[in-house]
Amino acid sequence: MIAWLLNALAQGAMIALVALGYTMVYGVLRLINFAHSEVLMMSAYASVIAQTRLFAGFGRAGMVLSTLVAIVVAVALGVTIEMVAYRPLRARAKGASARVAPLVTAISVSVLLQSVAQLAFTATPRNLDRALAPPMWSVIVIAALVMVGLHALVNLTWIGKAMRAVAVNAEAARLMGIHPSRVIVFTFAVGSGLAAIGAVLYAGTQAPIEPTMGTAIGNLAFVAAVVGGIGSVQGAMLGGVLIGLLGEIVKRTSFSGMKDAIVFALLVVVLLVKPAGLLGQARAEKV
Amino acid sequence: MRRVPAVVLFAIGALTCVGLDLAYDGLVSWDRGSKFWLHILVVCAINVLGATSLNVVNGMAGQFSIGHAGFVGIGAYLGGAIVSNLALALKIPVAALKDNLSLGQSFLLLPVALVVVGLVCAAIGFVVGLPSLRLRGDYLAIVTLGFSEIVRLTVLGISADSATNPLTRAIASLGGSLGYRGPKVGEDYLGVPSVAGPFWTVGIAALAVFLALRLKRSGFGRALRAVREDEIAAAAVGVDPAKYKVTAFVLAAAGAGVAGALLAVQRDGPGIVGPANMKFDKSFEVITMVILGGSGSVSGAAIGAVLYTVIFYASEEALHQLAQAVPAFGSVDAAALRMTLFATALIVVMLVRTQGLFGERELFEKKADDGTPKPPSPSSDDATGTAKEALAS
Repeated sequence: MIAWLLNALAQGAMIALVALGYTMVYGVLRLINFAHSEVLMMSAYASVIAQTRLFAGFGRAGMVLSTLVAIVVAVALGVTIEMVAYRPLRARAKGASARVAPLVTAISVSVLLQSVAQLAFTATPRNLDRALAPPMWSVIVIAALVMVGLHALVNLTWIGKAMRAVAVNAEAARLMGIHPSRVIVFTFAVGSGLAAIGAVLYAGTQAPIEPTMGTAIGNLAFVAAVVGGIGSVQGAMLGGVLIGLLGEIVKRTSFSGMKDAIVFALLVVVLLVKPAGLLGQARAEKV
Repeated sequence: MRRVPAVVLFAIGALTCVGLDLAYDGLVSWDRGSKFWLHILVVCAINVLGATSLNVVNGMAGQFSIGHAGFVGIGAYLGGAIVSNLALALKIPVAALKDNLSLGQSFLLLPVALVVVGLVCAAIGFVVGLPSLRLRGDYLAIVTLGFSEIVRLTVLGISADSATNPLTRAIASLGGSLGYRGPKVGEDYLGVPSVAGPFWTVGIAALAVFLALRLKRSGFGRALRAVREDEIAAAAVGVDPAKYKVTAFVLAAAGAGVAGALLAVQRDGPGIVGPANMKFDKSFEVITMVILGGSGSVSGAAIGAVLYTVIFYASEEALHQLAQAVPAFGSVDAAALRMTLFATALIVVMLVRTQGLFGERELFEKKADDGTPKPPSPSSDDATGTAKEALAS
């Protein structure tokens, strides 16, 4: 029972790490960053390639080094996507297209990265060395440390304050001497880095690395972010743990084949009852 | 210009479609090789229907549905099931089902199936759209994505041995990952009959384009545009945003369902309905057609669909030829290559020409000449004025 609970919590922790990327970007940009799941997938490939090509004989230390490589790749990719695809759009789009165009671009970037991975790495799954996999308890510890660090970053540092300011009102933040575009880039970097940690933990403990892994994990994480209240950092953590627990509970029933469908059904129910999510705040509309 | 009565237009259209249908059969029996090219016409028409319907909600109403494939999938399974069971009940010879059915036989099977599919998908669209469209923001994108995944995973997730009650047994009979192959007759499956030739596909696609054009120029279409430009302003002048958004979504769902049904029973079709119809890639394909053509433009969406289909088959054929010349290309994943191409195209369009090929304009339409009110300027400050003007005319 305790082992089961530990496993469920570990699942939730990994989902939460990925969910944080969705929720932070949504917080500052009001954009569902569909490409986030593909950043995760690419960083998993980076880790497996680094681990097998560069640090093959290094054991656990090699695993840590490959994780660092994955984080660097993810941050670079996330920042590139923001600068190349999203930023020019914010300057240009207006009216009704200002709402739809970023979504279209985000989905296109996601499809593009997934197809490129399909072409470059083929659909054959790869595996991180399971012998080097971190034990389940350490997954929870790592995720908890990362989240405490993130909490401190958002609440105690200057850049965290700037992020919160941009999330509330980008124009007012600009008047206070904050560069929204720099804050946005920083947000993408942090979110992508967290996704890379989640990806390596996930690939190390259970799932093979394949081009569709981003969508599989990303969908769960996205649901976690929305259930917790998209835009809220604590909400993403709570949502992740809830989704992890729910998934493990469903696995023990006869509906195990329907796990992901049930997760999505939970999403629809939450949106019906509490559209802003569990910890999200409903905002009044202003003209 | 003198107007041609609608009845005459309709009759000419129907006759043209019958002619197309007969020409299709004639050409195929004359030269089997022409089947490949003629079949593209059928697929084009189905895609035009899919894109035209998505355009109502994504283009005209300015909402963002990314679960079109969910409705297409439901339409495909339901349409396939109705047509094949009906064929069995009417004792249309089983052997003939493996082959194409005649136009006469299709009249026995298709009208019922298409009407039922349209109504069922409209009802599901209402249930999905009502909660998500009452809210502002990106909830429709989230819910439609979730919806199409639920549908796909439900079909995949329930197998015959885990089915205990009538509902799960019905879902299990859809074949899971193997696909639906019609009702079981003895040891064998009947297969999904190929009944929808150019008469049905081209005819319905043309009808959908016609209706969408009328819709766009009606008061309803103008109200949709007002909602798209500024919901608060539209509500302030008495247009209920939720009502119009949900209606648009229901229409799109019905259209997608009919497109799915036609996809399942298309002439020279695969005879099988697979869960791949409901993958996110399929939704992305339809979004590509609408966005490339110009969201909000009916002819833009239709031309986008035709372009997409032609490029689809042309790239497939080109890669095939290339692989024969250079064997190294044989291992290239054609689908991934195509998705790379279209995704890049879409990103470039968003960055360079956000409104797509046509913008909101129609083919053969000059800027603001046909009496439909155009926003005086696209600036969002003017949105209240736009909404009022749209209503006043």
